[in-house]
Amino acid sequence: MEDYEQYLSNNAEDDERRAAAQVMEGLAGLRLEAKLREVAAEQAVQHRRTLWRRLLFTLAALAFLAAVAYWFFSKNEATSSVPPIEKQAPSAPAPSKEQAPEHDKLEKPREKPPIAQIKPKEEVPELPVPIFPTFAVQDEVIPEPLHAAPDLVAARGQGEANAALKALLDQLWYVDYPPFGLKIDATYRSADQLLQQRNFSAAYLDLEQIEQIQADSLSRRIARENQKLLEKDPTASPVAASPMANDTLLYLKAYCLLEMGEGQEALFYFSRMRFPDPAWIPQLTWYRGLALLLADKRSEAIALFNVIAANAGHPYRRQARKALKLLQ
Amino acid sequence: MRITEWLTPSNPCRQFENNERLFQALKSLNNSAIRCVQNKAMPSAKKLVEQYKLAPESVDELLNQSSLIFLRKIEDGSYQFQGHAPSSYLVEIMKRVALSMTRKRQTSYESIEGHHDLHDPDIEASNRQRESAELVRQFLGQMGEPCTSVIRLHHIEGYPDEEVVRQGWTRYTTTDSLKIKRSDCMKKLIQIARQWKITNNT
Repeated sequence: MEDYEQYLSNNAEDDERRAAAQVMEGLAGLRLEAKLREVAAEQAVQHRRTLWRRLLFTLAALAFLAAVAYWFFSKNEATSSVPPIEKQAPSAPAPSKEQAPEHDKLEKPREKPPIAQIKPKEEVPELPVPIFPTFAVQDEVIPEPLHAAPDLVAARGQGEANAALKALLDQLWYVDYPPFGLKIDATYRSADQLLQQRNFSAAYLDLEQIEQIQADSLSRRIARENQKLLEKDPTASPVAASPMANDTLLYLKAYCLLEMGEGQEALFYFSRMRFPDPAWIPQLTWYRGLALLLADKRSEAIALFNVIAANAGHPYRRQARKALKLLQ
Repeated sequence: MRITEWLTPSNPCRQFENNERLFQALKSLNNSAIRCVQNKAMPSAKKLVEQYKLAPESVDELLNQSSLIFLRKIEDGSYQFQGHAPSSYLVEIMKRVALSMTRKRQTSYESIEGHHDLHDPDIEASNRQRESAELVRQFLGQMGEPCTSVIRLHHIEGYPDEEVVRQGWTRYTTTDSLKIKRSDCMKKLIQIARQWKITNNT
């Protein structure tokens, strides 16, 4: 207490000492009170800081959760926006014959098929030089094909190229029977049964016979008409008989040939189809792409897959993207 | 830094390795040490307030008054470190203060004579100190500047003279002149207190 304590001890009277003691006691009390106020203020600052940190953390956590929820729901929305028929079409197990009309019902209401679907088949070779897509080839998860591609090694012989093509096609063989929208009438009953059993060569022979019968019947009819014509006018020139196979037969034959690994032959039958049902077109386009691959027309196949993949409404667009990715 | 540490208030006790270090820090009125014992005693304060059916807002008053007594006892040497946790002594003080608070509540409707035997010397000393502090505050107000600041900075806020001079908080530019002035002011303060005692016959 510095000099003043000395002052008290030397000169002070009793009442002065008592007053000094009271002053010192009061000052000590004031000092302790000030100290406790300081500590309380520090504590309050720390509580406020902690409160702000918790608030900040809560907001950050909420923002994170909102972002996750947004991502999750937007992803789900994108998945669910694909029409169910498109999801099932390429990989669904081959529906039974009784289910076929249901396909018709679902496919036929499409009054305006996508541009790629109504393009005439002859236009495909005229497509731009095959390029790889400008859109993102994403890693889309699609189911693996139900059936393996035709055994090219057995059909064409051992060879690296055949094995590689077989391996590629195994991943892309999204080929189902019966084709969507195809109406099988009594004429094709036996071929239909054979195709359901995946006995393609027997089915093909059966279809050949049907074609022959139809051609003979047509020839006979034309011959009769020519005879009648010549009886009336011996100078008239006879009508030439030309094969007039219908599109259902052509489609079934092309399908058989595709499953037998005969790409070039399948393309031939696909190109002979004159008025294919619009409901067939999406699948037909995809099958043409596979036939092009089988026929070693890789660049044309890529061009066709590009068209399919770029068409947001095409049921085989994911398969086409997969194909493009594998072909890159 | 772990997120849990970031989200919880820092533990003021962490810097004191043992009770002795804590006691030494309390002796020098270290803020963290005071916060440490108060934090440790806080749950007991809440419990006592509940137990004695005091108003919930009395928790802070109880803790504050008990801390004042505790620090005064450390300062005047009546509490010596004996290996125990200082906070346990603070809790003991709190029990007595809480009891006195219940008595204070009762005196509003009961005769004060009936409670003479329950008086606590520590609490009485604390009350006496509080009265003295109030008087000194009044006397300082009467003295005016620069004595109020000179005494406050040293005796109440505890700043060293060197810092007071360096910061220029008073008109004195050397520690010697500051000390001389403070001594002079203290003498005046004692004279005011003496005069007040004579006038009030205490």
